[in-house]
Amino acid sequence: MIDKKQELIRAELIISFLLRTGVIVCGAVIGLGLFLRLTHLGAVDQSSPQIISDLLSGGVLTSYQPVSSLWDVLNGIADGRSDIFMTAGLLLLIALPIVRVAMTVIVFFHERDWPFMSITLFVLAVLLSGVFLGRAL
Amino acid sequence: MSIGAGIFGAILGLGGGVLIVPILTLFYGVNIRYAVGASIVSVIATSSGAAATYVKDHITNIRVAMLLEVATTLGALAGAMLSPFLPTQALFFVFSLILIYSAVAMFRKKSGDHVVTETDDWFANKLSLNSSYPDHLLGREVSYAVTHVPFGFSLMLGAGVISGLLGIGSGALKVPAMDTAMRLPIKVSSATSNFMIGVTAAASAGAYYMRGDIIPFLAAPIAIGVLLGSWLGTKLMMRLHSTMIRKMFLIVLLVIAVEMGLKGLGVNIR
Repeated sequence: MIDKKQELIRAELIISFLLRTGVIVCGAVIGLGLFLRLTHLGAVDQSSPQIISDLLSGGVLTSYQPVSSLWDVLNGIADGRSDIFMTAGLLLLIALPIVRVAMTVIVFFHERDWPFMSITLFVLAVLLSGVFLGRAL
Repeated sequence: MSIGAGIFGAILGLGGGVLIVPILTLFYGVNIRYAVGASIVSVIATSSGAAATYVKDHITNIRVAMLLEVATTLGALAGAMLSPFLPTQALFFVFSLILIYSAVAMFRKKSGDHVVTETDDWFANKLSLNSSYPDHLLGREVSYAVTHVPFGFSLMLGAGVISGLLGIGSGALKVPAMDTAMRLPIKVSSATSNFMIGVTAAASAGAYYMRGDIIPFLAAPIAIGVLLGSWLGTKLMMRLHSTMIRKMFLIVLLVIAVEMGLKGLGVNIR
């Protein structure tokens, strides 16, 4: 019983650490992208002024395509593109809770807690299916 | 602007999302789908930051959170899938109703905990959801039991749909579901709600991103602002009288609710 309590506390500490560091890293990457953009240091995507003016006029951006492959993100970062830095930070932010759930699966596996491991796996599946359903629609 | 939303969010225990969508749509004229996309990301940011602290203090009930996340993520996914098929005006109208509800929920006095120590709920016992948390005010561990799990679960489905549809954390719907329906202590309810909000938001954020509704130029500055704001908010909270802010915020919420409602009805003021 004592062991189980200790293990729970350790798991809580790991999750808390993951969340805190994750948020700081995401904030730093997004902040770097904004900095590059505001100082015009990074390479600028040609379409961005158009996107911003379309946004503020309340229209729908028909031509906008989200960056959806890891390769594109890495390439953009290598080129120092400010919009890709921002995108990378936002994607990390979306991934953070997903990683958190994946870690919880491992914690329940360690505790041999099968009902809860299945529950957590199911939540993970729902989260991942969101990414694919969004692409399909 | 988004710094302000973060400060308010942290002080009042609401996600900043409730403010971001109205500000972007009403004042900046952004299409509501991009406002929702930008908002949902910043909801993840605030929730993860706050959740880290609560989890460390052993207040969050992770088991209850994981179980209820089944409901909220399914709901959020449904909400995100549904939103493109709803007319924009309907979104404004639903948003307005949620704002009014949040305002009323804030205004009602907290009636204190309805904690029980034993339960005959099959799920609570079978899945060992009952737990305890350290209460610093009382200086001891408080044990509690969980009741009405199926009812709480279905309320969470609804909270998930609203979150996915409107890009908000919908903590105002999650806390009562745990506190009033499932009889969790209020501190545990709000900490657990915060913990769940990030995962709920991630379910719909993935779909919104892939659909191209999360525009970096819009979402990035807002996420940064909300992060800074919620950090400042937690610092400020200790020095401020929250009842005063609550009253001011209530008026702001109601004004926004009326504007969003009018827009939902097709009346444009500006």
